[in-house]
Amino acid sequence: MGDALLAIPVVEARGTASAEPGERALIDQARTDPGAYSRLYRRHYRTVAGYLYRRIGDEHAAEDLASETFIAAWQALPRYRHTGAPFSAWLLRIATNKANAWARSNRRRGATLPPPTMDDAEAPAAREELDLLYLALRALSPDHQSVIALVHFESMSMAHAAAVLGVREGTVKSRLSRARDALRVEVERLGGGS
Amino acid sequence: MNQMDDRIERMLGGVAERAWPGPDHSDRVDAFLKEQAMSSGRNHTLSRTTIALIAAGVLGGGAVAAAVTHQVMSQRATIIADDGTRYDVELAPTPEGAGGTFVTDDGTVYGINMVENGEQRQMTVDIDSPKGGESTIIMEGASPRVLVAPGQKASVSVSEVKGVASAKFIDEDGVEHEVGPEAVEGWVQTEDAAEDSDD
Repeated sequence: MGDALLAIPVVEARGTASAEPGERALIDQARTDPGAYSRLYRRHYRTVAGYLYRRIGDEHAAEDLASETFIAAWQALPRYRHTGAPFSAWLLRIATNKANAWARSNRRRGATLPPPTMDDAEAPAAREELDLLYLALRALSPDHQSVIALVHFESMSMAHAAAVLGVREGTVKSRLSRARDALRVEVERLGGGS
Repeated sequence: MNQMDDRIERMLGGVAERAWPGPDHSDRVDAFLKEQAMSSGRNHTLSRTTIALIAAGVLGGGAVAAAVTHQVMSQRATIIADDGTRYDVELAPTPEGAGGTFVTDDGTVYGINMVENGEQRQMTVDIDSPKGGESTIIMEGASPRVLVAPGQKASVSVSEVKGVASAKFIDEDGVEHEVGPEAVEGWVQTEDAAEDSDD
């Protein structure tokens, strides 16, 4: 995992900017100072919450998971190592783990998930498409959901997605291909083939 | 097939355009960090006689949204001291549920474990209080209270099966005091604690 993080390039995508000047110092201070961590987490909150929102579709669940992510990050921060990768990649990995656990647990319990949060201004046709997409997406394995979310929703490069997921770039490519195939099958199965 | 690929591409692109509609911070994280800052301070003194411990969370039978957020919410607990100080504590996930140990400023140690098994939820709170005091454990409306004598250790267990709550109290000698659902709202106390509370 550490090797993958070292290999990460700086790319233009959501939440992937390299550490701002002074962020490294802020991270170090935040290891023991809740006030410093508060500034750090607020800097990245929208990135993480936005990722979770797009990944799982529901605003309230995303908000809960974002909180879980930052609390877990605070607890894990003493073990965080500077690798040259954006701090956000580390946060997004934690967020991904939270989202995967959430998806697995809901599946195990057979929970009926709420429809995706909709913007009032969204056209009915767009709402239907969004509904269909999330229904199909939620039927995929958490790993497939993650790779689709990182590459397609967050516009990440393969290398950056690999860093977040802690896998090799080639694994991301093959996983993404299988995920897209599975998504197409689900969309068709759910009646979206017409 | 190409049409389908194009359509899926448009769908995915539509999601990518969805901006986070919520706030730019989390009240829960802010409260957590405030508690961390307080617990790391050395000057805060708590003159406690009553502590209520509340486990948040709603499970089953309710709205879908409540069930969805339950897993997250159930890993939190709130300790409220009699001076109004709130400790929003985060329970660490374990294979069985969630739990944690918390020490308030007066030295009282709370060991909290929440276990979910199908439709059954159980919360156990081990209390080790150097000064003694009254604690109220609240879960799903059930609120057994226990008086803990100075230096006494106690364990309070609240179970909920299919929405019906029951509680039992185990004193430091390991003796279980069974209480029925009708007693859950009332007082549960050991003889030692009762003697101390008569002061």
